[in-house]
Amino acid sequence: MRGDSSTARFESRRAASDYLQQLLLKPGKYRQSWERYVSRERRGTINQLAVAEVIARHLWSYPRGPADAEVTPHQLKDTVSRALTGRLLSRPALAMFIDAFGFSQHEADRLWRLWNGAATISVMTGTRAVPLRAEEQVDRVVGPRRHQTLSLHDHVHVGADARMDRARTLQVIEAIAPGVDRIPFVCDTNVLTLEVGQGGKELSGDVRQIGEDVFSTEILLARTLELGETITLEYWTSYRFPGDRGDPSEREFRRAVMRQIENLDMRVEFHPDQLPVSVWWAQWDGIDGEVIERQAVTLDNQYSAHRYLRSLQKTVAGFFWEWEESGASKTY
Amino acid sequence: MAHPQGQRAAAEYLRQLLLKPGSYRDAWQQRVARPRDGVINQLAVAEVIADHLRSSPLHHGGARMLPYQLRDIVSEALSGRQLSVGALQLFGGAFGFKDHELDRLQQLRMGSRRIAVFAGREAVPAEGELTEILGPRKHQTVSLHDHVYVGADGRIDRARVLQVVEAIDQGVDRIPFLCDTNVLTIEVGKGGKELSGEVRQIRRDVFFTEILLSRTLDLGETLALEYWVSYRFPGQLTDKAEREFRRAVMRTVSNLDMRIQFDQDCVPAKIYWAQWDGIDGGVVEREAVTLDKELSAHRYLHSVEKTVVGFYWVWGE
Repeated sequence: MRGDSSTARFESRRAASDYLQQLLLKPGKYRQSWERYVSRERRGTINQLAVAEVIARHLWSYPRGPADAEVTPHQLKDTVSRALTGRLLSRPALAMFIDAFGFSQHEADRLWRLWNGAATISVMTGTRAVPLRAEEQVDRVVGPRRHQTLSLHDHVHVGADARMDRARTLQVIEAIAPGVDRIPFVCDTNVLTLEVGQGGKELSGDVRQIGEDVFSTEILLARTLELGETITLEYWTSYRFPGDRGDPSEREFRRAVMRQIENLDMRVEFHPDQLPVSVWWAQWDGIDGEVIERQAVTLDNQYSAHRYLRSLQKTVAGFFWEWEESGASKTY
Repeated sequence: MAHPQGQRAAAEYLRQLLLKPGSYRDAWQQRVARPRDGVINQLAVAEVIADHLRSSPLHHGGARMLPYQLRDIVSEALSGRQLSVGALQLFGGAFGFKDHELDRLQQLRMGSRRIAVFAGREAVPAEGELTEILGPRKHQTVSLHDHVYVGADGRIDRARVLQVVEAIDQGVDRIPFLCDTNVLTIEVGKGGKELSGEVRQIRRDVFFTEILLSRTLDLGETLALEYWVSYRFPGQLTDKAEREFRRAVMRTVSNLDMRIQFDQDCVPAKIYWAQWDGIDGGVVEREAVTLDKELSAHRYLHSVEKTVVGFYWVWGE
């Protein structure tokens, strides 16, 4: 993304750190390893001293050198803190985490790939996807969070008239409360229709305007989910963009994530008669903010661009593109 | 303009459609006294077409066509020597092929390399161990959706697969595709350029081909692929192999979503999500599941490693 190598290194270490945090927070054996040393658990927060305790105990059994045999959790706390905040995640520190928690081979491989700077498969985090007021409006209408997204595929088509035409979405959700029979669908005013396929019974029928340019409705699920149950949903969205090629909002497809989604695959395909001169993958500083990071991408032989992110949290990410000023499009 | 290789590929698919257990095979076999396994009786096929022409003549003289007059057309079509658009329409009309089957026949005839037909005579025997044939691992699956449909006749009919792969090596331009002999066709969509064209039989009951990607991936790059698989199960509904859909994972697959949907006219009495002790082993764990309003069952797993998982079901008495 940014050209300079120290920035790139910082970004890759931060991405590895983000993924490391997710592994430690994910319900399962890694979390249980450190939680057993915590007296009062705080939801969604890693107890760094407990993590240091796990690592210290591992080092006592498998010392890397004489000093490790007597290392205390307090001595490791700074290393853990720097690693988990992304300030400094050194090679030995990452190796220590991998060994102490026994991450699986593919998780360890991914941590190393992120650490080494594999830019394409990453974790994106921000501070806020939408302004606080808008988030409050959405929260008021949508209510408390009752599901989370485990996997999301946004496949978008841009037509021969250069307008975004339609998107197909495949989404796997997990209930984080009992009796989840619907999920909210929030969109802007450029969305014309929403059609549900497998996994969705119907729409609630009630489309509400919850902000100046934000609509909300609900997708009723094919079955009611109990806590921890999952379902796959498919739906199609059509758009009604005015066709103003100069308007940036007609030259971008973004996902604004107010909380967190995992495993996002985004693909934008252009009509062969109307190809952009440049396409970028980008992260924005909230829906009204500027692009804070961008990376040029090349279309494949199906005139499509694709990105996959392991996790996306409180941020806005997506593609934007430029048409040639004369109106003629690039030939690939 | 038809492609010579395309005509042969379309003819292979046409033969497989006529040999696949079900209504197409029944249509010509009921005119044969002693059907032989795996052999199409061309005169019987010509009779089906002649009957169809009599009931709805396509052109002058069609109504008076006798089976023996159609035998050359049938023979040329089934051998792939001459498979015209007209001949495809004749077969399609007479046997009532579905739109997607006709479309696939047309695409194959035009030389599409996005579809492969898995048939014994096309398969090239391969030598060596599976890992040797597949070569070193060059990609991993970061997300996989298997969406399967079981038809009104109780047979597994088709599957749609959406897969996100990540290159774990430089210059990954293809991924292997392994399947058993119940797979009839694979057709690649988004993310897949074409199939490698060569179908190899690497075990008695395992085929292998390669999906060429729409772009070459460098280390760490990802791509979303979509493809469709059609099946030719014999229709022996008591056979447990016809009552299960499984994923055998040789290494690791992350984020597996498996969904199976049944036709409303053929709903199982019971369905289970299970784990098997390898592809030839027994069920080691199972859990009864309930179908939803769409008569579908679904499971999602964060990660699957070196095991076999899937659904199996039991039909009512």
